[in-house]
Amino acid sequence: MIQLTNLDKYYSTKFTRTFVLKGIDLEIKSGEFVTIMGPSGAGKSTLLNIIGMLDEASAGEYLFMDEPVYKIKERKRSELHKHHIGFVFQAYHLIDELTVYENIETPLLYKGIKGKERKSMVADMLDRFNIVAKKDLFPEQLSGGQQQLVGVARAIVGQPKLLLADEPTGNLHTEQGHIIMDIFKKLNQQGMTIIQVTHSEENAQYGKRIVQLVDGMVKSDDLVAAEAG
Amino acid sequence: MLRNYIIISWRNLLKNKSYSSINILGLALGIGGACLVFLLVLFETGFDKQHPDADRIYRVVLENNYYGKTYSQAIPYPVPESLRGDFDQFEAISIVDTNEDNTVITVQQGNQIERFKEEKGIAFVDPEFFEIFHYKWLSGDPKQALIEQRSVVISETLALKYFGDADPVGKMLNFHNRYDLKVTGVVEDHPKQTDIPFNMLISMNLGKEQKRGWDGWDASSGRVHCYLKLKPGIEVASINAQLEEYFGQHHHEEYAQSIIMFLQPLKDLHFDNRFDNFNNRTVSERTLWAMGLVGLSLLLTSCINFININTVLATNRSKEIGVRKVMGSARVQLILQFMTETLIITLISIVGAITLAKLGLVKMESLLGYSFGLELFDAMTLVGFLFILIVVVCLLAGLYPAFLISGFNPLEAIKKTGITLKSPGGFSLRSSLVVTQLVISQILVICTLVVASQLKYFIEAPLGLDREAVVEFPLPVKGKDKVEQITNQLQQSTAIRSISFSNTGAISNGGWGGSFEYDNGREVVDESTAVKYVDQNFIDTYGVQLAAGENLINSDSATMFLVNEAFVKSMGLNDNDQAIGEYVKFWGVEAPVVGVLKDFNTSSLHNPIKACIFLTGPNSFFMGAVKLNPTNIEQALAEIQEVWTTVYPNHIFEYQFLDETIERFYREEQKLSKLVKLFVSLAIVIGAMGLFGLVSFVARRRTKEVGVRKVLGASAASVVLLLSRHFVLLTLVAFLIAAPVSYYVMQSWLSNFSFQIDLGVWVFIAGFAASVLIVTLTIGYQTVRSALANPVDSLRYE
Repeated sequence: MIQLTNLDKYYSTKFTRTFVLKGIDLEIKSGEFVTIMGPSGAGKSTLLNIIGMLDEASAGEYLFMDEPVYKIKERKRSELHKHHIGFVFQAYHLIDELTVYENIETPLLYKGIKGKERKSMVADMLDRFNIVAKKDLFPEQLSGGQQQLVGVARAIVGQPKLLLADEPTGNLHTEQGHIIMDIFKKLNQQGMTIIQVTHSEENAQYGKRIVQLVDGMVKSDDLVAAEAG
Repeated sequence: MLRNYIIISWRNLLKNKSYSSINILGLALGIGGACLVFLLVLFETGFDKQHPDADRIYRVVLENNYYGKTYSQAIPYPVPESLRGDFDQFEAISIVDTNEDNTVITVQQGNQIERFKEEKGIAFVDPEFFEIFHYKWLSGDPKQALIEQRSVVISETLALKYFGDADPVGKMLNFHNRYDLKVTGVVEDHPKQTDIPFNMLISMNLGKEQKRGWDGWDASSGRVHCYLKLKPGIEVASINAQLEEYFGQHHHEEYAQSIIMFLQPLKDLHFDNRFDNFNNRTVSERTLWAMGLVGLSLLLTSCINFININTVLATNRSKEIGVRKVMGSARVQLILQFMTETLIITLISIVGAITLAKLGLVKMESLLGYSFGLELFDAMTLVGFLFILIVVVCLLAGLYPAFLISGFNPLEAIKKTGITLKSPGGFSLRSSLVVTQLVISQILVICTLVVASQLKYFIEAPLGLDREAVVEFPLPVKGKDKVEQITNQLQQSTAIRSISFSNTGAISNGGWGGSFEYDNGREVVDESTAVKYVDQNFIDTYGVQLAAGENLINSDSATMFLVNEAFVKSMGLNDNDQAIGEYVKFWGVEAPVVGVLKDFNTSSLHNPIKACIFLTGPNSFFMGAVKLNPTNIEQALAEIQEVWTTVYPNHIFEYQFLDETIERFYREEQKLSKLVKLFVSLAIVIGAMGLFGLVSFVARRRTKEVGVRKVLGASAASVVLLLSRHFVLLTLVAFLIAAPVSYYVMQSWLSNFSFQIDLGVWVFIAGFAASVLIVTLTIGYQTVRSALANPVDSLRYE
């Protein structure tokens, strides 16, 4: 699904070139659950953003579903976002002026899904995440965990193939974090490809593969040991 | 999707209540102002559209090249008849003689005699008049109505007033105790938008004894016009070619050879200020353009507000925009979303604008002194205009913010709480917009100041005569005996200082004119001069100064002349004393100049002081003037009225104070000034509102910076300076643009007047100071508030 070859990301100033990512080779297949880890400033989020096409690589090749990304126009990119990629952010990033229901509904509007079907899809999500009672509340009326539930619901309501999550539990209590990670695991089991960035070893264990980044380079790339029991 | 857009727009509107109200109120004021201007222009451009074949209707006018170039619509009485005989290209031609104002109409109602005063709307016309101008007939035959001798056609309103419900046709009325007229037709009242505004049209056919006017071509009256309608297919240019020398061919005096006669299209009647019309009101197309520009400025200012406020607000919404993009929103969809928002705001504003315009219309009509007679939504054109306005405002105000906002990089938009909007070159677009607003308001302020001070000058400038406590009243019937009667009875009154009679009073618009001859030894001068018939009390009553020689002595015919200093120059003499005793030939009388009056304005300050000759002639007196004892004005007026009424028992007394008469000369300028003031205050309010919004946002954005600076020891004053420096700089930049533009505009406006103020530096300084003051007041509250805020509060949240 994702094929990165010798990918660089750098910022040029007059005299120097500061590398954020250097020589990244990474292949992620459909159905994987990859965790990107590493110390602060290692380039984790940048890598995730490049994969999510929110940022562009400075050099190297990026094939998304066998298509070179650098050739993709803005219009096509929003098509990809619409149909294939869902995002979950550390700070949730719900739209403050929209209710829970409307926040979840918004991606479907962009996908052009018609009224009835849309309603049932949103209802399904509310049901699944146990937030039916909260559907008419605004984000500021929810706790952080609840907001992130909505964030995840919003990310997956359009049934994307790829879910990208940048520190999804970073602002949450441990308990709330577990709930989100359980959902991720379940989604992965249903076939969704997931890439998450996290500091938490514990959360990494929910995935199948851990990529360690240090100073913009892949330090290790290991499969997670099969869970005991 | 649209629902989603509308929902979020609405919630954002409610969330940012103060910014939303600035946006909406600003747009409403701008659109409302633009609507008012549009109505004004619509009204002024809609004159005399009711006549079929209006493009074939013309007025005969004159261009006189004898002394410089002057224009006049005044034609000698014989002209229409003469043209009728000489041209067969005219479908119809008619004199329109309006030399009768303030008349008394007497109607027999049963056994009672009723008197009505008619101030205006009276014209003596040829029967063909109704073939030229369209009136809607309620009874009578337009072709026959005025053919009958001493017949009159009256308007519906007059018919009702004179005869009640009875059929007026065939009834008799007496005109000013002079003509007995038979009503032969009733027409609907004329529309508001006409310069042919008559309620009473009297046939010129009044019989030999009562024939109006005169036979010669040597005199004309500004209120006698000639209108005609060309036959279809006739080229006006060919007629003009034939008319060019027509005047000279019929009037053989030297000056007549330089008079060019030509046809002025009906559609120019309302706009061409070289000529007068029956409403005494022309609107130059330039004025309309200027008003249009003012309207456009209002619109522009409010759109700029909108852009400024929306672009700063956008930074608050960057997260939403980023998230939407991440969710797959195309840029077009974001643009559409923000345009929807603009549309919603615009629609709300339009509702406000219509309400404001309705209020404004009442105000504007009272300023202008005439009613438009337009209901706001009567005119489909206005509905169309509003529609166009919606589109224009949406595009103007909404498109740029929408483009800008939708172009945010999603990652940055999400990450940062605010996006900085900078354009290359260091001078941001927002600054340019603020400068544009400031330029507009500064130009408007400077122009208002200039107009106002020119007006003040008009009204207060020394005229060379004493305008205080002088009352003028017209004499409805001329005659030496009447004048003597009045004089004898009033002279005894202690409330009256002096009393004088003349043809037109000391100062009037449109006086009498003629030409004089004088042999100064080198050449025989033949020059034009204004003419005033006066008596020996003229000087005392009007407070005019004698520069040399002596006053006139009353006599029945002219045996001596007084002249003014300009006249002495016309004679070719350098010194007032030289003129004394010199013989001048004027209107067939050769008599000596006995005195020279210091120059005073004999007409409004629009015109220069011209040569003027003063002679006695009690049979040409039409105006009485009384200098009152200022302590006894009420008593004096009562006495004058009593005497006047005994002398003219069949007329109605009226009077006017001289200072009011003079003020009235500048009616048009006063209206213009009031109107401009109204719109200028609008523009300033709109601009200030936008600035307030902008500054409050900037101050909020820089809260942290201010906090840090204060922790580092910055004083409150330095913080105020920090926050306001930028705006004061912008004000200065704006001034550098506004000053030359307004200088140019005002210079060309002032050039319309013979007596004008100097465009002093102070006007510009005042304009700039006003602008700085407005800016300071607007931003002052916000900057001082942030300067005085406790830094701990602002830093704690970061």
